[in-house]
Amino acid sequence: MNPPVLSARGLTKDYPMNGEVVHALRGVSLEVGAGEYVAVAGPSGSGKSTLLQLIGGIDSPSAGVVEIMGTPLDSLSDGELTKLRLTRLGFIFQRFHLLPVLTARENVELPMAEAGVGRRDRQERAQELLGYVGLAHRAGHRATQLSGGEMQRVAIARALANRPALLLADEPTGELDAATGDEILALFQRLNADGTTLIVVTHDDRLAAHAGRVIHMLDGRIQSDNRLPSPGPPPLPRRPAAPL
Amino acid sequence: MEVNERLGEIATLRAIGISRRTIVQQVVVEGTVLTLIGTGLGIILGLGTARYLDSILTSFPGLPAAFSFFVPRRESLTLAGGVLLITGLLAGLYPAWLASRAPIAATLRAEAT
Repeated sequence: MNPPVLSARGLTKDYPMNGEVVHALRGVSLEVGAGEYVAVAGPSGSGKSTLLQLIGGIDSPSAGVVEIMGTPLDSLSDGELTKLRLTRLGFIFQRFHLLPVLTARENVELPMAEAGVGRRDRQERAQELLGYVGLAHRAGHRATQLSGGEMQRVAIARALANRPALLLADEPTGELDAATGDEILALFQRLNADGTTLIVVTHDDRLAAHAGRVIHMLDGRIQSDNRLPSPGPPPLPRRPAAPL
Repeated sequence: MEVNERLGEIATLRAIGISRRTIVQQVVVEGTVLTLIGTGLGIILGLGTARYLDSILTSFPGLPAAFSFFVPRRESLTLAGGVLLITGLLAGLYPAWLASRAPIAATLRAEAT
């Protein structure tokens, strides 16, 4: 039997702040299987972004273990962890964080260049991914010339570049208006329908309603973990060649 | 742009799996290119200014015809260019190395607030 994409056990995270200790996470455990679409919801300060950072290996827990595809992150050196983030995980941030001096296509190529993909292959794949997110016509535009929704779609294409096992998104609609946010939600649904495993941290009730599983957090703990009977509205029609 | 102003960008690159080495290389290459452009422009501007001042000063009466106040020498230009290049490299290398070691999650949190 394949291991779950993600297994987290007994995660705690404490931060020192102004001379006091903040307990951001207090013993969180969860497993996420391949193909799941999980929304992590909760009020500010509930620990959901911290959980995502621990899952993504960009912060380390005070206690507990995170395993990605059966690999415990605490067993990896910094270099190995960096490589795991590059090849197994895809990150999407609230503020997009594209490199402003690069074009949309170059931003998508970046993780592939780091992974050693040849120039021609990565240009082709970047173009393919930009087509998948509906931005093939904007490939040559610099990030600063794109709207917020377009930047987020480029960021999604960048996150998919190395065919990650798990896509992690932190408030991906937080900087977008409702209509543009809906486009991103539709894109997530299509990604999931095409086989991508997603964990999305959100305040956005609409986004949570589209996920197949909703985890509610409060005060650093999981308050509820519900698999929804229906995965929400039907996904958009699949495109002929999903480059995932 | 200073490396400090790019901490968020560097933290993002680290988060998506770009190695410290690549980040330091990138910052150093950018710094070197900027230094080279600055050095080239500086030398062109310096030579132009020297020629202009020379034309004023040598127009004073009583000076020999072949006299020049500013004579550009290859060794001096090479030395100045070399010093600028090394200074630019060192000025970029250390902050880039420090920035690449900044904690990713804390930097992204600070950027978001």
